[in-house]
Amino acid sequence: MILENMKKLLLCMVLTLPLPLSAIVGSVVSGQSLWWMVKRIGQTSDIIESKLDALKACEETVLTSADISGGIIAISTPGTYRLGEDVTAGISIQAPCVLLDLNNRIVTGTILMGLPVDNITITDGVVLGDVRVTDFVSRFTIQGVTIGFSDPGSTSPLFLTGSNLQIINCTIKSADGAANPNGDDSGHGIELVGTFTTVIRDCIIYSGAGGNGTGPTNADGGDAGNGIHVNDATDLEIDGCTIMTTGAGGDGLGTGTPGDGGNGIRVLSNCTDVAVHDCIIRNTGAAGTGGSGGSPVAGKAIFDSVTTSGSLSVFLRNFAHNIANTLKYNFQGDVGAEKGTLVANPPDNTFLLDRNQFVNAYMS
Amino acid sequence: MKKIIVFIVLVSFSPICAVVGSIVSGQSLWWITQRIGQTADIIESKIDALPICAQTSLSSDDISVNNIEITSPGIYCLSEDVLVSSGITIRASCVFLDLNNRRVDGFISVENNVSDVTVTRGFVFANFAASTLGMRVTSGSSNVLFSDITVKDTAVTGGVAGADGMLLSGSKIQVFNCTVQGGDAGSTSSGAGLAGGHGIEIDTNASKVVVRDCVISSGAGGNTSELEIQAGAGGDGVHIEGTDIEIDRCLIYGTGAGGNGSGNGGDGGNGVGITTNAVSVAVHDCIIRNTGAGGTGPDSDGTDGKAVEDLKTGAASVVSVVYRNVAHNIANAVKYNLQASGEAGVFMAYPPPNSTFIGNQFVNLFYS
Repeated sequence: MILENMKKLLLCMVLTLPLPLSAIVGSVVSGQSLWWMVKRIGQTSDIIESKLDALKACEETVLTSADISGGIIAISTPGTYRLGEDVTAGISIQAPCVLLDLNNRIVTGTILMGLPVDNITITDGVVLGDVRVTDFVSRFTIQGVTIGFSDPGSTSPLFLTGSNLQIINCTIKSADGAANPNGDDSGHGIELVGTFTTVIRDCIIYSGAGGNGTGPTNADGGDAGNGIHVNDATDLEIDGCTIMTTGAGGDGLGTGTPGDGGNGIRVLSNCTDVAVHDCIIRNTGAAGTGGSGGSPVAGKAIFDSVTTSGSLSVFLRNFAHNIANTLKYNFQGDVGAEKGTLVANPPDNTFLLDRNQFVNAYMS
Repeated sequence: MKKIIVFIVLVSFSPICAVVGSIVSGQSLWWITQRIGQTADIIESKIDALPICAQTSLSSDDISVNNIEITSPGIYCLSEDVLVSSGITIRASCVFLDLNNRRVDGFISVENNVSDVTVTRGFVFANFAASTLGMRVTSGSSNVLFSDITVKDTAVTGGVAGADGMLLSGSKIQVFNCTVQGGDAGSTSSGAGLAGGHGIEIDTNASKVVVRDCVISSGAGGNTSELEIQAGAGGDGVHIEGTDIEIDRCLIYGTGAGGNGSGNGGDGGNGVGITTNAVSVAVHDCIIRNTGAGGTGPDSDGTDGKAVEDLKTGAASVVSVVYRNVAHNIANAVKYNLQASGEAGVFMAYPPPNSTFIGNQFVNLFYS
């Protein structure tokens, strides 16, 4: 009897002891779980499986200086990327479906999209350089980013082509043009060339002054940048932006032509269905002085040259003051007629024909 | 036989499942330990080792001589409330300081001609006996953003002027979505009364400043008991002496009353005060209410606070533009003194009757 019981106990021990006491950690299954463990007990198994991969934060790729190659950080696969430190390098986005969170870090360089990519979002940080959205890019959003150059410079800090673009809550500053034998032009704050369906909303924009011509004898001054320069855009909405200041034109020498002052918003004649509303435009730049050539023009609040029926721009409820040009709102290419409405300063209670709340007003 | 049974019992009661330990901040997100007799097998995560978390954490450990000084670019995050009577001073460009909804007892100063600085999300309480600013940008600094911060200067006692909630110098400064309160002045027994702090002061060296979506109040002027001497003035909600200034969609909730004197009472604070030094100021779409009354004195009472006191005159390119604001409960009979020319606002009855003619949507309205 005792021997029989001993056999049963020994059999039990043999069955129990080979079971592993430590957990078995399995491999990570991408997209399913970050880790899992399985414990087998006889014919059953007990599994602990993480669900961290359900969090978006864990899908991010962190970018650092270690990712710089040949002076750039190349993003060549879709995904979410977050800047882990300030970097001095360009960032080239070469894949669709990229979210680049600048993570309140600073990029000293150019962010560009050099391939026909779509679904690109850039958020929350500072770019000491420029952001260039090149042709064929679609569904691009940039939000909460400060973009700008140090003086001098002639590049527009935010250059846009492509379609379905959204620029939201950004601060953008272009640099002054350099002084040269003929002064350099300044970049525009935002420059659109060949865009379709674009929204620019709640941005604060400054543009730089044109560079002075240094001669030695006859020299042109550079043109100042416009706050927003619109060239060949279709379906553009500019809403709630403040254009704080635009630059003055650069001075000329001798028979050279001084530069033009920057306009708040310039819409070229090749545009279709541009709307600008609820913006504040102030402190446009004066024309340059010094040279006897040409007829430099001071900056207007809005200078619109679209005259094609069916493509006309729409401007409403904007407010301008301290505009250098005597013509504040120049719509539909009519350079001879003011399309805005003067509001006395201080405003009194007798103004505004028919109390139209959609007029474009100016004070000075 | 007994030994065998004891052994089996011990083996059977050994834990089969892993024991999950607590998260150790800054070390690992999770760890698991399995004890086997006298040994332990540990699996420990290292997710926190990724550079994504490489922001610099600031705490009381970083205080030196009552000050936290930031001298290198980077992202800084306050990990606990700190008491820094000599403030947090930012002396490097390219700094992002996340107050992380923590409280700074002291002040924050951006100085040393730096640029590209952001301070966000938190509380700054300058509650010391000395007159201490809440937040400051010194002259020469540029591209500075303050957002989502509550700044409060509490009352001081004993011959100390009230401090400004914010003092802005430098260029291209943006203040968004902040709540800012200037401090009350203390009383004195001799000499002139001391001024209450402005909510936000924008000084003569400031340019291209945008203040938007802020709630602002100012401090009261101090009393003085010396005969024939002026008591302290209440602070302005926003006091402006700079160039190219934009005040947009702010609520100026109350301004300080003037102090009482044994000679002249101090002036009450204005909602927005624009001095003759200012150039091209715009104030629009703001609500201004509850300005402070002038203090009393046997010789004369102080001037009551106006909604907007704009003393700038001159060419169209330099004067202020003030439009589409609404004021009520303004202590002074003149609500909007624009370009130093007397009342320029439009009265509207309350409740607003449908018969009231407002022919210009840009007028500055007042109810009371």
